[in-house]
Amino acid sequence: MTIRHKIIIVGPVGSGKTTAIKAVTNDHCLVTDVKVTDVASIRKGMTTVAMDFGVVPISENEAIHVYGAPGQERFDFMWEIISIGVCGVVLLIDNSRNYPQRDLKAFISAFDKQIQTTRFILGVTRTDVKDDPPLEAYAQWLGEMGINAEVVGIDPREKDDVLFLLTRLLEAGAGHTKEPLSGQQRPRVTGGDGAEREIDDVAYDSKEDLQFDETTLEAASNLKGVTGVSLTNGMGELVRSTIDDESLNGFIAFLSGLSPTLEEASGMGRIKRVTLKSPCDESLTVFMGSGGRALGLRSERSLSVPLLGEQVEGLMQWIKR
Amino acid sequence: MDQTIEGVLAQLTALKGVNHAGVYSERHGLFSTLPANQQAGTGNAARMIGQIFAALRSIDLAHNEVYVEFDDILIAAYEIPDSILVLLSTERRINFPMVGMGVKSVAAKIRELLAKPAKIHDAATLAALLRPVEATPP
Repeated sequence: MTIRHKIIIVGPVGSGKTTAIKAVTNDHCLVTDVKVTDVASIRKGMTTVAMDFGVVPISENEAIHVYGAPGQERFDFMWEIISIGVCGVVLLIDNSRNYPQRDLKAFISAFDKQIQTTRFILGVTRTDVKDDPPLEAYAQWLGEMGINAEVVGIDPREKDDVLFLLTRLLEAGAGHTKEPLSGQQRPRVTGGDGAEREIDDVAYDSKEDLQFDETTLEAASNLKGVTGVSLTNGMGELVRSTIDDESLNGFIAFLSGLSPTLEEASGMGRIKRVTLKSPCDESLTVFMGSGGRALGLRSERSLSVPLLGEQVEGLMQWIKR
Repeated sequence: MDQTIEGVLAQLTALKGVNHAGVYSERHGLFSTLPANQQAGTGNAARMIGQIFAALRSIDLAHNEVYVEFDDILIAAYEIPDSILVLLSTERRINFPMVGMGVKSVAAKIRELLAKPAKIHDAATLAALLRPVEATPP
């Protein structure tokens, strides 16, 4: 009887999930790619909409069944379906995106249950395109989240790299307490050459806060369903706006100014965005950024709030300044 | 069906993705299912969200739903007539139309319950009122 290990590969759009499954199965896999119709088209032409699947024999009587999840949050119903019965999770993070730490946190939060109860490994891709942040930064961020899992730099086009990642996952210990780790307990880091790296004591900055500028405003104004965009600075002053309504611009500035006080008074953490819906007026979403900057988007009432959020997050990850 | 605020809050927390529910009005303060250590922060948040709705009215905008996404939680606030706020602490991803309809379905009941004379929760006020008439005031 063949022992089957079910592993899922998750991660943001374009992080190399389908490429990895194709590479490790020599293209003998099932993929569900369709043409991209959202902001992911900045980066690639096709995207997974259901799942990828392949079988990787690792011995005479053992095989890994590897499933690739779609990267977009709007397909998260598939994440639950393919998570049933997994023995491990591989998270691929694209190092060349603008805010990889946001991706890391978002996917760890989404797969929290599986990560806490099964095996977990982090694969960092495209380090050849952009080497900052270094792999050690991911180890630090995982440690801060209480996850003592290995961080491996990989090229998802290389079969050996993917196989290495999968086998290391099967060797890993299961379960993560999610209690922040001490400095000595930092997760293990393996470079793209397969060699384990020494862990340094350098403290890496958090790179989570979105940086809004006029390029962002231009790009956001082209999103489908968006009817106006407004950018305010840390003082609540209007930097630029495509919204004619002065009082609405004033309200966006008011909301961004009120947010730090709301964060402090509520004790609920940092505010990422505030959305307002109306039975007759257009919707308004204000994204909070670094340095107190805020990006306000007026959008059609029919536009889904989570979809707009996903589109802006995607845009911010790939926008070039 | 439980015809109390607690009963209404239980109906709201029965909605998928809703962890806690609360009802806030300036006159009555906050009724909620939140643990005691989160009541003060949520009360503060409710007051400030009330301020957001007031600012919207001042510029003639009719927005009556506010979703504040924090790092780990989402606070969904709905303004119903009489400036009453229904606050829900939810998972980050919820079925917005389902939750919105759930709030609408209990809005009339909340107004009716809050229209009744307010219960006195403050122990000192209650003790003073319940003091026997012949007793000497402190």
